[in-house]
Amino acid sequence: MDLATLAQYVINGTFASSVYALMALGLTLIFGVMQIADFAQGALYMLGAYVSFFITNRAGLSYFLSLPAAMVAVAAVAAVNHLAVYRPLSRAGGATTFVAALGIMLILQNTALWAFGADFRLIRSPFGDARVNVLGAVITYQQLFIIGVTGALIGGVWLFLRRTRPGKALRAMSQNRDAARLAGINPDRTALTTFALAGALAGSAGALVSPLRAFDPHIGALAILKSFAIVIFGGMGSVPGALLGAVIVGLAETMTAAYLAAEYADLIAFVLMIAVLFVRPQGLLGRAGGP
Amino acid sequence: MRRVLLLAAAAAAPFVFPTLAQRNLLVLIAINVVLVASLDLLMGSAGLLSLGHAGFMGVGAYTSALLVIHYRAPFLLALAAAAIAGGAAGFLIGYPSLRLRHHYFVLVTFIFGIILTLLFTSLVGLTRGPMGLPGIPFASIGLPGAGRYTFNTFQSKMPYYYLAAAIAAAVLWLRGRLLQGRLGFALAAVREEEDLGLAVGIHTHRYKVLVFSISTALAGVGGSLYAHYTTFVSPEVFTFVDSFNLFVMNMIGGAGTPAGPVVGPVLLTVVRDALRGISPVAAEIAFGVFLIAAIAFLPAGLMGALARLRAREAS
Amino acid sequence: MAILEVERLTKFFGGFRAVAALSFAVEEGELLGLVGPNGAGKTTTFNLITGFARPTAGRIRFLADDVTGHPPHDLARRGLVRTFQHTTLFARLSVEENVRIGCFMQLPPGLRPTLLGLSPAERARLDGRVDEIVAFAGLGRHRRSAAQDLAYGDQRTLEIAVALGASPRLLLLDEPFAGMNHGEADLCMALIHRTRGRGVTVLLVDHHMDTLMKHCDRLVVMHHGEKLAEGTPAAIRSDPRVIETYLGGPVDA
Repeated sequence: MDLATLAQYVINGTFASSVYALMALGLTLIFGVMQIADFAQGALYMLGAYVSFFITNRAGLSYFLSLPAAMVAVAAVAAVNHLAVYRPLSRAGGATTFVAALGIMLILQNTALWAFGADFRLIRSPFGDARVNVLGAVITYQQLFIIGVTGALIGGVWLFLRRTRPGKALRAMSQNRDAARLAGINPDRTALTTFALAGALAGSAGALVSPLRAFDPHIGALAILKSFAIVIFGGMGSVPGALLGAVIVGLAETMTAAYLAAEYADLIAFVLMIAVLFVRPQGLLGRAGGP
Repeated sequence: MRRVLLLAAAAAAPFVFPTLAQRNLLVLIAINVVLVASLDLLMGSAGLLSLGHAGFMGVGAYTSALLVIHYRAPFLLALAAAAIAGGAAGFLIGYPSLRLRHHYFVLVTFIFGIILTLLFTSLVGLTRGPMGLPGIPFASIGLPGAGRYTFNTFQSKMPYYYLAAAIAAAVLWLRGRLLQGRLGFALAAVREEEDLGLAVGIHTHRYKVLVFSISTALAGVGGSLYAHYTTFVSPEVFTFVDSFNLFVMNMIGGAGTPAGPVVGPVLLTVVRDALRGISPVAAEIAFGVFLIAAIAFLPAGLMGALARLRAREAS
Repeated sequence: MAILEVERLTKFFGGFRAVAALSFAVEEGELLGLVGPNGAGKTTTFNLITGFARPTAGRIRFLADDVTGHPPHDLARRGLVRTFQHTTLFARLSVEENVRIGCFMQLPPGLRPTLLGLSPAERARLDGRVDEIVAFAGLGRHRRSAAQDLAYGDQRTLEIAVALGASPRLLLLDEPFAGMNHGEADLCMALIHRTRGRGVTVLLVDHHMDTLMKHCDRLVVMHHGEKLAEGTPAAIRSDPRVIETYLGGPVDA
């Protein structure tokens, strides 16, 4: 294999990883704080793509405007999910919230189907077909933009978690719920922040890939399943674990498609996850004891 | 007494509901009873959750369909093979994963359900992948002295309904008996306090693997019944959403209650169909709302809530 | 003859040494007390002996067989049965059902009894056994009550009854008197003495030195995971190391 081909795979893999990273980050934050596997995040990703579509293709506004708009709009939906469903059900816990999450996903997905139709959509990229060559591999400006924005968002989340009061409250809740409450942290407000943040991340992921991958109201399902696998692979509740998991899965998928067969690429995330569950149930970077 | 009433109601149902659409629902209910009863062996009896049951149903459906298509296997043999394939898949997955702690076990079942669906999609040479397997032959059973009888479900739903209902009744009977023996004792211990079970000499892992294999074998039976009814299977019928559907039917009916595996499928199959009659999209939205409402107001399921109500009146 | 022999049993949790080269033996028919302050390693020792934890080093012999590292269900099959420190019952099931599951090993083996239920004769034999144990434990009045609805003392009694269902040769009781008032503790002790009358050897763990002194044939005293002393209550009472480190001064009985 020559260097150019390898470089191309690494670039494609990094691009795939960045989308997974955004989704997995939100999922792992919610899991850490609330112990909920929020499947509805898949539908939020889909909504992000549609918000972006309506702002660029229908309202004729800039794609760059659609990104923050998608983040705000989807964060609002995520906040509503929390207030209307997860908070009232928080005492039930475990499998029941899993069912509620599926309920939300069905509602959002089918509302989208009803409102937007079943047609596949694609957004015009503001970069057109512009591309650069790196070590003989081709990378489009849109891909570069996605990787760059993802990096910036992850950096932003990192700063938020380390430097701000609500961010520190979020980390404290995730490490020890009872101690956090004793320290005067408001669990409901922190949970709301977490959902809004995760929603913004899922919305950004949807808006970011909408010029590259055609979407319909069903795209959320596979995306959330894979992100979920990544989060378990990396360690539920672990932020570095989710990011590492996203990178490994993104690269592994690209390599599987390249060297094995394209139809097995979707399987790899789940196979990795099963493997890690048997060898190290708490995930790569998860804390022992776990959920 | 209650059993006799249930059997009588099941026997009379196609006469009370004579249209093709109604009888179609009756067949689907009977198949769902098989599937939910199989799931309840885990959830209700052992407190183990499986969120991948549609995958095992798919294993049975494809096994049965392929045997009949390629080898002209008799239906009853294909049905048995579906049970064996489902049970074998369950054994292979259950043996290692039932050593994991409960949360992780649930995740593993969920993910294996997805892996099975993805395999149905990617093993194109065997399953024709996303295009699905059309033209699965009708079930046909040789009757001694009376030749062969073919269940042509396009002409009439009634004979197949009785076939499916008979198998459902057999599965319900088996479920009752399974809980009366050593397995039932062991599962009660697993459900209530596994450490104490170990301390009094119950090799709990062995019984968990056993019940998981039986449960997935019965899911395979449900899959075979489904395949020869619709004569078409594709990966889309065995997704994680379908696994959730079974879980919800089990939960709404009331896991671990005697009537739960009948009440859940009847209620949800009818409700979903009625909603779909109005509008397919509205049906899914309403189903989503229904899911959330159900866990908010009926966490122990309908039969569980009724039992509690009766207990309150009694005391 | 020794029914249980523990040889240089050691358990590390990470760098923490919970049990250190502990050796002792339980003689057939005796009531042996394992005593020591909280954190002395008693419960860890218990978990090692009963297969709920794996020793880092050392050997455990039961009825002359090496059973080190065997799983709990295998030990129970051999006749080594335990109760737990915190009340551990099939909480939602009735007293009868609890004891019935305790009798699991008496169920007939084979495919039919496993999958298709017991025959009427097998059922009757099981019910007779359950009735006998429930009456023996003095729980007859509560036989249909859910375990979780019993008074605390009755719950702990039921734990012993469930263990008796498994026909133990050696019964290990982990702090059976914890949280009991005096009346309850006396009743429980009486049940333990009656249990010995059935030919059951008993190993009792507790941190109340005086209770064990009064009832046990012999005592093993633990401190920081090590054995401090072993002997009859009288010998323990006069052991200078016990007096120094555990009793904090001379004891007057």
